[in-house]
Amino acid sequence: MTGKPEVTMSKQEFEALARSLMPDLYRYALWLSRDRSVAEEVVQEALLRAWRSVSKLRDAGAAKSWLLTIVRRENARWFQRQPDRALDVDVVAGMDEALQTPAVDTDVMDIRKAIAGLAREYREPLILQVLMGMSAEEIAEVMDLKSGAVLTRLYRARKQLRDVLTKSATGRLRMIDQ
Amino acid sequence: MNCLEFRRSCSTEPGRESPERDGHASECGSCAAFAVEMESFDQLLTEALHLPVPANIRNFSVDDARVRVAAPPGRATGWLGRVAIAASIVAAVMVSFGAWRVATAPDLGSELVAHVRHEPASLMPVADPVSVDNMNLVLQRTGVRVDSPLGIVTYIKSCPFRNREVAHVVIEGSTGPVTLMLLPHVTVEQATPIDEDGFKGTIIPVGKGSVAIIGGETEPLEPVEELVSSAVAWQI
Repeated sequence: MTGKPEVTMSKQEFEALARSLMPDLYRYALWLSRDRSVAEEVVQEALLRAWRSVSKLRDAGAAKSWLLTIVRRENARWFQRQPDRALDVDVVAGMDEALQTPAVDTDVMDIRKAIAGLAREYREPLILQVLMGMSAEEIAEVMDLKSGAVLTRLYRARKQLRDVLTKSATGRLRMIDQ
Repeated sequence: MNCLEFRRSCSTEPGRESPERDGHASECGSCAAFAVEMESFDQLLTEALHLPVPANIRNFSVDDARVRVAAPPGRATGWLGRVAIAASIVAAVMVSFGAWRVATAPDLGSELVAHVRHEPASLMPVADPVSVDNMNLVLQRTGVRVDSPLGIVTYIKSCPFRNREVAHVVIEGSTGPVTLMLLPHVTVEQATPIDEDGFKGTIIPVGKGSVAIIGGETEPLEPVEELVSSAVAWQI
């Protein structure tokens, strides 16, 4: 047998791992799906799937990116099952509600809306980089891209956000010309 | 590294440490200012991406997830899916003919009926009642204590409702399924009728919370009210 030995993990250990990563997994699923109920369902199903195949995890240190990949696939499965869901008015309303969280200033609200409006190909690498702290190489592995393509998408994502936000810039958000 | 390369690098990976970038910034004030702006922009991005996580999903257990995933809302596959679709059509027909609408408890009642309609699979006949283990798991998770049997339970699930996980239970009534929404965090002053889209029911106060009982138009609800009043209590 080659490669690292499989990670041995009890149910309790797996549950503790899942709980520790739950906020990140949920936020990732929420930004992908832009729907709170879908995000909750996707994360639950992804974690169950992960538990069933926990023996495939070869490196406990890679557990986060492994789980993020499973969440990503589960989200894709969800929308394959319900391709019209993205057009559902309730979906947009659900995300609006999630965006309207209290105690955030206007700049943050504007950015949230702008991020939600980004095409997924730009939104996803930005989430993985900024929210998950992943490098371009790690994002490339999760998204099955070359790292050069990831950098291009990150550049375009930020540029699009700046273009949108420059028009409504207030307070803390001061943009400069490139 | 020239200014264009510097700015592109800052726009893709603002937080990355790079001696090349540091070197360029020390010689170019305009680019140094750009780097500061980009780092500031990324702080805002970080803040924006950190959407709040509901407390109810922070706890994860494999067994609990199995219960939750067993009958997720919106999934329509296989025979159960087909039956659920049929139920949706029936519900839609009921909506079409339910022209009247009593203005009682409009917000809470409407929300509850909408929730029931969102899970049509919950109203389907089942071969076997819910197991005691599954029932206890959901009740424990949602802070409910049941002191005496509720009858034949055909469905139970932990559902988000008004920012909390609550027990969504369906029991066999005398004419069809009767939904019980056990709401420890929702207070009603007195029994409040529901008459909405072909569903009839009542929300009764139980302790500091309430229980919604929702059935078909011909379902006699009084026996269920008595049953629930004596059986249900809150653990929290």
